Amino acid sequence: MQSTTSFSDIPEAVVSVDASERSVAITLDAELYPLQAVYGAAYIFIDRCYVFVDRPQPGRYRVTLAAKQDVAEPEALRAVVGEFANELLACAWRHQITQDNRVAIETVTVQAIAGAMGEPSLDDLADFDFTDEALDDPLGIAQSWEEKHGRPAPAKAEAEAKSEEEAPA
Amino acid sequence: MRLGSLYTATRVKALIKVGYACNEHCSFCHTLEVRHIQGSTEEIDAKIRRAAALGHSMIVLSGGEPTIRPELVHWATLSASLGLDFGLVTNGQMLAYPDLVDRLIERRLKYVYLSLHGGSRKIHNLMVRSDAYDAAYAAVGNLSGRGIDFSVNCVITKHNVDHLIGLVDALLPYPDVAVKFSMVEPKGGGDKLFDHLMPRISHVARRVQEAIDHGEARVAERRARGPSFSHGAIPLCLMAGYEDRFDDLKTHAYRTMIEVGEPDFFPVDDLNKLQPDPCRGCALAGPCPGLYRGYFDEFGADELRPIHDRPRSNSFNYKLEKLVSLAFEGSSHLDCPLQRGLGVTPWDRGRDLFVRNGPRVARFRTETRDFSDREISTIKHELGQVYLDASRKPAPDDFARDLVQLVRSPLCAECPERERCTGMFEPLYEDVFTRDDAEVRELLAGLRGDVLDIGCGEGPYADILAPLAESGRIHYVGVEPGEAIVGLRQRWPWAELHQCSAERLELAPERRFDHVLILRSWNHLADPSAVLAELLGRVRPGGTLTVVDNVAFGLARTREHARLAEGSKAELEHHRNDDLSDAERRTEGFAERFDLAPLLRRAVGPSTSNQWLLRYRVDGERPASSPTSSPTSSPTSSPTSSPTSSSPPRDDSAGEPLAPS
Repeated sequence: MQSTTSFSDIPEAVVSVDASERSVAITLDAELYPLQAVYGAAYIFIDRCYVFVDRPQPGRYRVTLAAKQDVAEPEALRAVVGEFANELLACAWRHQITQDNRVAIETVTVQAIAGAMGEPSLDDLADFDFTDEALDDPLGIAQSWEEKHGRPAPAKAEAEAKSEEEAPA
Repeated sequence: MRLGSLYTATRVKALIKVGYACNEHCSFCHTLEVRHIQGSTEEIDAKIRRAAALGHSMIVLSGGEPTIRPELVHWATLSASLGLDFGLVTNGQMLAYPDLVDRLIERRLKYVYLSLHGGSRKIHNLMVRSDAYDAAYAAVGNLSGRGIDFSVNCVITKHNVDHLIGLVDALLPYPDVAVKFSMVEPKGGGDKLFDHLMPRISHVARRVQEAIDHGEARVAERRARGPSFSHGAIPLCLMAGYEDRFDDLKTHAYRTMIEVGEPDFFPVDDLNKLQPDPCRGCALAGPCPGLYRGYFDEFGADELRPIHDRPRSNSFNYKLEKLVSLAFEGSSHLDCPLQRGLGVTPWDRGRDLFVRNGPRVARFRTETRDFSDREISTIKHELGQVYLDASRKPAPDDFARDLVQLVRSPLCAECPERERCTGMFEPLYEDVFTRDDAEVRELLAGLRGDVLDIGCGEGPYADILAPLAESGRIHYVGVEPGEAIVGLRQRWPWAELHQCSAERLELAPERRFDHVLILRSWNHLADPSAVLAELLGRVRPGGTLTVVDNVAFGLARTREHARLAEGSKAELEHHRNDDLSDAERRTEGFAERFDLAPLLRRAVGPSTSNQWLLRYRVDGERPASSPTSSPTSSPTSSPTSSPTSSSPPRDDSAGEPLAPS
């Protein structure tokens, strides 16, 4: 029996209601709400609802909240949707603030750690190796010819050749 | 001239081999037998510091392949921290990564010598036995235009000798590249696969010239700055017209190099090559690389075409580089700066010159290419002909006043390193020129009869010859091709003078002489054998032939003085720099025909000036008991100079008389 409907104040394209299943499905624009914010908001409801997140189409997330217990009044589902929407906005806002302040946070953290270690001496600076990064070699160029072609290492090849010469006929 | 570089060739480089492993396996690889040997990080670190301490301005890493070492950027950083520029001899594959190139340039990468042996995958990959062309060619694109002194070296074997133009075409888009074509060396793989790889040098020379012509024509068509083109390890007599494009370690300003495991740097040298006997006297002996020894052993020297029709320089400059000490007080080799810190090994025995004058010790250096390493070492040590130029003239014209001879210091007397060390030298405050020329003056004073003087110049012995001529004791004939004879005609009314070369001298068929002089003009003769053949036949029996000339010599000067001298417009006049032995070899062929008897020989050595002397009695074709000369020629009467004197002839250089004739 088809029982999906919507709330009168929310477009059906955004929220659909299945009263028989006691669930609501909320469709979100991925450009407005980052996935991390969706996870954060949905997590708040896991004690009251079963939570499903899927992607019905590119650029869209869908969060389905199914009440664990009977919902006596339709207004209760409307309240769940409202609470989820507010929580989602709060999560998205916190995510935005974090992104904006990442560089400042990391700088302060590094300085705090460095300050705890004390200022580097001239000897420290002289010995500091700014090149501790290994050579980036995605094409595998920096590999000896012997390794690359599965040949024995030169010293081993020489020893093998020598032992062949010395082997009794 | 290499284009696009921010650096001149005077930046001094040290070559450090970091290990012999490689990501390619070139058929001609020098280090075929030692690919398993690697230098440790600490060893290379120490060598970089040593290179800085010795005064180099750049370290260049080589191998094997240095870019496969994970310490590559660390070594560039260390080098830059010591104030050195950084360079690489490389197959270039790792430099296909733009990030790596950027990081190295940030750490003063200023020089890259990259190997590329063909203009296509087929040729290059066949040569290096690896799929390497794409990466190497990408590296060329990454390096070009970055202000680097950038050379691309093509080693020539049988496999690519006929495909050099393809490489030229591949590099035309890169105007700052210096393209070099190098003859393969018979070492390592080049020796093991000699028959498979080794082309004939004359064929290589032709193909290289074609490639250079092709490249330069394309560059001119495009009105581009480059690429430029050069060659290496090809005898210059086979590269006529292309001599100025010669390229080797010295033109790249390498001073020293060090292999894995060696304790100290040693000077770059050409000991793997030789100039065989046919090259003796060649005008290009100075800069010419000669033949690889292994090539000569197999093929000989039949392809060579020595050059004898061009003048050579007869001197070279040692330029002041550094004041080593201002307060030196040593008295034995144990105190010598070369034994204490500087080291003996890194200094070239001929090209580096340490001079002590009281408490001051200075280091000079010659970069001349007019003379080979062997010639320079011989002039400095065996002949002892290095002088301090105390004048300020572009060219010294009064040796007795202008030059102070430098001799081996007493510090070196007991030194165990004496024979391999470049040595410490000190000024000898003695006029060796006047002293040695006194013997020539004595000989001239004893002349009687008809005298022919080849190359009389401005008449330096006028004070001796004029009284003899004016009193009728000699009849003097002077020959001089230069304008100096014009002044002599006015000052020497007693002389018969001919303005021409000795080779073009025309005399009546019956003209005869008692004495022939070739005084400091032997090395000016274009064809001494022809001159001897003509003139010895005109010497009356019992007459003499006297030859005097100078060996080449080195002059220690300040940089400014050397610059002024090298910028002067003086022309070269010497066709060779024969010493006494060379002159004796040339006259040897005439000894039997004209019955030459040696009377006097004085060689050049560390205790003499640069002047040698050779004198013969010419007995001609007449038997010893035949009557003496006609009334028109007065026989010599002075017992000290008479050719018929019974006293044994002298060899002043040895202090012992020669055997009587």
